Amino acid sequence: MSRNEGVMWAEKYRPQTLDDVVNLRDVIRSLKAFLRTPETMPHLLFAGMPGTGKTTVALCIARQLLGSSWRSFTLELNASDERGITMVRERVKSFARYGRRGLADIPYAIIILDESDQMTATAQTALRRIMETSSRFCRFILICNYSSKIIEPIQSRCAIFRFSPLQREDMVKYLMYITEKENLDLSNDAADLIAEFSEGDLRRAINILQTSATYEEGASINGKTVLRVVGQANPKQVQVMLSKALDGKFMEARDMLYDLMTTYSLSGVDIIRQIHKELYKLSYLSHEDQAELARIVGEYDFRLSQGANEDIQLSALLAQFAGFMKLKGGATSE
Amino acid sequence: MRVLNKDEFKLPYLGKEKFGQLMKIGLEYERGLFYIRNISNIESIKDALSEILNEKVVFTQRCLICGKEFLCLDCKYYETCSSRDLPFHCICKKCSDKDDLYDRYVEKSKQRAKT
Amino acid sequence: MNRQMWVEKYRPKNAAEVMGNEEAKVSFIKWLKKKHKQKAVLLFGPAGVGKTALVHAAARDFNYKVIEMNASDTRTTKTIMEIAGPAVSTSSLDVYFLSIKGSLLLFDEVDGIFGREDRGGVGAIVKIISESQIPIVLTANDPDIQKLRPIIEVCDLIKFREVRPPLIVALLQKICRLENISAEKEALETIVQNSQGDVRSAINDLQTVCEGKRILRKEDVLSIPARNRGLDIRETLRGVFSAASPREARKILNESLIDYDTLLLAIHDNLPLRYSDPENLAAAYDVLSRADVFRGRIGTEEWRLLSYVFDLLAQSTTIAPAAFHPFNIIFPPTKFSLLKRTATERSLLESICAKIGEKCHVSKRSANLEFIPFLKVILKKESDQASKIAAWLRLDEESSNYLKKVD
Repeated sequence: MSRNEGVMWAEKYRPQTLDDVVNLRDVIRSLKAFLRTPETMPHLLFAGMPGTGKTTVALCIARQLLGSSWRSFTLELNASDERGITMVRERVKSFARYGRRGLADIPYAIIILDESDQMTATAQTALRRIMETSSRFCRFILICNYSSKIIEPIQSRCAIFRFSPLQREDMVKYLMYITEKENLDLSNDAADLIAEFSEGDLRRAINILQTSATYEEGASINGKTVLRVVGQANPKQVQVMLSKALDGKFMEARDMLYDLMTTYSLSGVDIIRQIHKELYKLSYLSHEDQAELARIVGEYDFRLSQGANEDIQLSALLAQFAGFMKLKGGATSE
Repeated sequence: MRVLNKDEFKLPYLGKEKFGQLMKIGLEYERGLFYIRNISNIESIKDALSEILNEKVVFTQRCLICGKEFLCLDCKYYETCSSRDLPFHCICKKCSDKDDLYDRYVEKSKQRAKT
Repeated sequence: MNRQMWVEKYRPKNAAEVMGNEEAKVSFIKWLKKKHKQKAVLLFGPAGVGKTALVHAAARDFNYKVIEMNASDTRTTKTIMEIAGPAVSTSSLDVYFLSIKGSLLLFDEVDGIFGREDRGGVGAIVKIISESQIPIVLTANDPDIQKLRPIIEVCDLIKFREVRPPLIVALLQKICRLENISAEKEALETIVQNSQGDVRSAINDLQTVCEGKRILRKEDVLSIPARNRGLDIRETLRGVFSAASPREARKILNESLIDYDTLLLAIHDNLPLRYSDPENLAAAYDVLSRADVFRGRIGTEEWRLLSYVFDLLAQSTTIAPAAFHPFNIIFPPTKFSLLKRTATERSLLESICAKIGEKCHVSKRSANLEFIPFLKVILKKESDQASKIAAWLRLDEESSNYLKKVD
C-alpha cells in the first residue's frame, strides 16, 4: 500500500469489521451478542463525541448482518442534509419499497440516521412513528453527540451505546499504524501534538496526519509540520470576530459574521459552538466574565434552536458581547 | 374603436400588404373570418393590430359562469386591471354580484374539465 | 384555536379551485395527461398567480406525487447537486426517484434560485431533464433571463398572467364567509386592487386587515396606500425608528402592509445605525431576537403570536427615544444581496461537501467543518497527492480552484 491512490485516510483506514476496531471493547462485546441472534436486536442509539467510531461501528454491523450486497440494504441519512422530517419519511418509505426485493436472505434493512440529536423534538416525534411503522423490515441505528437531546420515547426503544473519546495512547498507536502502512515516519512529538489538537476525535487526528504528510515532500512528519498544518487549517475568523465584538466594534464583527455564514457556509449552530470554545481561550477575561458570557451564549443557542433567523440571533449575540464589555468599563483587546 | 371576438371576427378589406402583416403577427384566416388561436403573445398582437388598423382595438370577454360576451369598459375594475381589453375569461357584472360566485366558479371549472 | 396562515388553509385542493388563468390550466392538464412534446414544462408568470398551486392541485387530481427539487436551502427539499453528482449508495435511490411512476419533479422558482453566474445549476437541471423518466415541471417569474436559456430550450412553455379582479374578490368573499367575517364588498375590492393580480398577496392582506375583527369595513382598508412596496417600507422604518414610544411605533406597524419577515430583517440591518451606544444596541437586539423567536413559531403555532412580534419590534426600535438622530435607512435587507452574491460559491462549496459526504460517510455540514479546512491546505500545496485526492473525490477543476484560492 503506497500513497498512490489518493484516498482520504480517514476512509481508507476505517475498520471494516468489528474485530478491527481497536477500542470500545465493551460496546463491541455487547453488539456481538446481538449480532449472533439478529432478530433480537432492537433499534440502536450510538452516543458520543465526533470521531469516536459511531459511524464506523454502524457500517461494520451493516456489513456483518447484510453480507456482500450490504450497500443495497443500508440507507445512510444525516439530519442536517435531509432538512426536515418529511424528507426522512419519504426516503425511508422509498427505501422500504425498493429494498423489499431480495429481503429473503437478510433479517432486515438498516437505516443509519446521523446527527439525530440535531432534529427538533417535533421531528423526533415523527421519527419515532416512522421507526415504529417500519420496524418489520428495518432497524434504525441512530447516531448522536448528546443522548440527552434524544426524546424519551426514542431512547426507550433503543439499546444505547456510549462511545467514549479515544485515549491518547490508543490514538498515537493508531496513527503510528497508519504511517507504517504508508511507509512514512512519524516523530513522537508530532504524534503527541496531533493527539492534543484532535481532542479525542480520531477522524480529525487522521486528517491532520494526512495533511501533514502531503505538506512536506519527504517521508517524515515532524512536530513543526503539524503545527503549521493546524495553524493553516483552523479558521481564525471566529476568534477575530469575537475579539472585535468584545472590543465594541459591532459593525466589523457583524460583517465577519456574514462572511462566515455566506462564503464559508457555516451554520449558526456551528458558529455558536466555536464562539463558546474560543471564549475560554481568551485569557484576558476573568473567570466570572467568561461564565457570564457563556451564559449569554447558551441563551442565544437556545433561541437559535427555536427556529429563529440565524443572522439575527448571532448578531444579537455579538451585540450582547459589545454591550457587556462597555458595561465592564472598557474592553481590553489583545 | 374596434371590438373583436378573438374566436371569430371580420375586418374590412385591407389590401394584400396589410393582410400579410396580419398573418405575420399571428392571426389566422378561414372562409372570411379571422381568429386568434395562440394567445401567449396577445399583448403584442393587440398592439400590432391597433397599428395596422390605425384604431384602438379591444377584445370581448367571455363570462366563465353564464357564457355571455361582454366588454371590459363596463367593469368597475377597468382602471386597475392589468389585462384589460385582452381576450381572456372573466366574470360579467351580473354574475359578479351573485353571493355564491366562488362556488359557481369551481363548479363550472369542474364541468369544463370534464369536456 | 389553531389559527394558521390563510394562504395555507385555503390552498386549492384541485385544479378547479385554482382561480384564473383558464388557458394555462387547460394547457397544463393536457400536458400532464402526456400530450407533450418535451419532457419538461415551464410555467412562468408573475408571483402569486397560482403556478405552484396549480401544480400541486393538478397532481392531486391525477394522482401524481410531487417531488420538490430546490437548489436553495429551503427545508424539506433535496439539492440538485446530490442528484447530478456521482452515483454511490444513496444516489442509487435518487435514480430510483427519477423513475418512480406516478411522480413528477417540481423545480419551483427556478429563476430565483441561482446566482447570476451559476451555470453549474442550470446544467444540472438540463441533465436531469434529459435523464428523467418522469415529467418535470418548473416554475419561474421571469423566463427571459439569459441563464435559463438552456433550460427553456428543452421545455414546453405555459404562460400565466395576473388573475383578474372579480375572481380574486370572489375568492376573498368565500374566505370571509368560511372565517365568519362579515366583509363589505368595497373593502375586498380595495384589497384586490392593491394586489395587482397577485392572489397570494390579496389573501395575506385580507388576513392582516382582518386580524381580530369580525366585521371588515371599507374604512379599515382605506388607509392602505397603493402597493408601492419600496416607499412604503422606508416610510415605515423611518417612522418606527423615530417614534417617541413603543406605542407610537406599534401604531405605525399596524398601518403598514409590510410582510413581517422583511420587516424583521430590515430592522436588524438598521439597528446599529440607530443605536450608537453599545448598551442600547445590546438591549435593542435582545428584544429583536425575542421577536424573531416568536416569529419562528408562528408557522406551527398561534397566529396571534404575530401581535407579540409586532409589540417586540416596536420596543426594539424605541429603546432610547431621546437618542434618536436621522440616518440613512438601509433597504432592501443586505442578506438578500449577500446571498445572491455568494450563491455561486456557496453552491460550489455545497457540491464539494456532498461529494466528500458520500465518500466519507458524513453530512455536508460535517464535511464542511471536518474536511474542508484540511482539503484546502492539501490542495494549496499542489502536490501529486493533492491531485490524486481531488480525483478520488471527483472534484472538477472549478471546485479545486475554489478550494485553492479561498482562505
